[in-house]
Amino acid sequence: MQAAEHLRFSAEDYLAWEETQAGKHEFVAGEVFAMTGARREHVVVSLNIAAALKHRLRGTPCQAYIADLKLRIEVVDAFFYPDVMVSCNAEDNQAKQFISQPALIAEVLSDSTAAYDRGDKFAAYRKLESLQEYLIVDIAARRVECFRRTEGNDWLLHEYVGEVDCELTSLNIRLPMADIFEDIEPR
Amino acid sequence: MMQTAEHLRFSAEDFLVWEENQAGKHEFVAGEVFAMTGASQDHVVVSGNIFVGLKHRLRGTPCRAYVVDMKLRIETADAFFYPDVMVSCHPGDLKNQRFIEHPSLVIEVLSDSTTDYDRGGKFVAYRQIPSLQEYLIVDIAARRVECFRRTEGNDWLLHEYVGEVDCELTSLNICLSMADIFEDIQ
Repeated sequence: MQAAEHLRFSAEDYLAWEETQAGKHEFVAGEVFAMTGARREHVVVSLNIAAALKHRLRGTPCQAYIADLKLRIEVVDAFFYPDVMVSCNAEDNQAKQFISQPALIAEVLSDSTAAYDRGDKFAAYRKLESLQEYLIVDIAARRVECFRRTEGNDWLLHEYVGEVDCELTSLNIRLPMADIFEDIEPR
Repeated sequence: MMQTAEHLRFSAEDFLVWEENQAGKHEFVAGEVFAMTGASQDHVVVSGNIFVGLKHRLRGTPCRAYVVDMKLRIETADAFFYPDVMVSCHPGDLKNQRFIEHPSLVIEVLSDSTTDYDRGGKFVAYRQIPSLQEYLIVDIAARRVECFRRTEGNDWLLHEYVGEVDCELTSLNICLSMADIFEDIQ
């Protein structure tokens, strides 16, 4: 998410306008933000996660999405493009333009978005009642931080480092760190 | 408030000696030294509000609150930081003139230049402090406090405080009201 374009839209106008644009844009409370491309490692790791999820979700009602699908968060009047999402909601999995009830979101950090992914974006994601797990993937540190919603509506942070399995308890899935970081050179 | 690296390489001991002779404050991570800059008015006011609230409530306990100018050593990360506010209840810390090592509570007030570091790399280092029970991130613009509390399983439970509520610091058995934390902030 990058420079604001100083356009002010309603959510409906944004959706119509964005369909005619060459690039992707996120939307927060009337403001539109152009998105830039990502670095190679960012794309590789996003794809690794989405591929592993797709494989494991086969035969379930859940669907994995990568990069190009919009997420709507109505209570904050926003549309985002998370790196990877999983939704098990029947309506979501028939939607054309966006989904709004993901169970899982994963963001792969990049220098320009790290603060936003950990801060205000996560604060917006927390308002999604469907969301059970939020993963922050730090390629440089080879670390995955998993925030899991608790029964009391707090978020439990568990950190994965080294050659372990990341447990996605909401989906009953394990992702080995080796799969997440496949084809990434150790630094 | 960590800023430009100065391309000096030190041992921890050399850093402590060198920094005593400097005009400004510096943080230290694994041999590298980082100069710190000043903070905005709002940042200083909120840090002060929290410190005052804590000091008042900790009177008569073995715990002490520190603000801004006290170094924190994290030996496993080979690092020294200047957290915005800390509380330690450890007798060794209370006698140490140069730095503390066993805080129960660390609080960072976000500023634009340090947000990423406070939420990311710095929190990773703080999580290595065995004594640390609670880590608070204060976001002035959002008028929000995020409290990370260590669990019995050594995970961290995030509870978000927004609106006119009390922030519970369970490790210290203290409540700070949001109104006190953000006093004098427009």
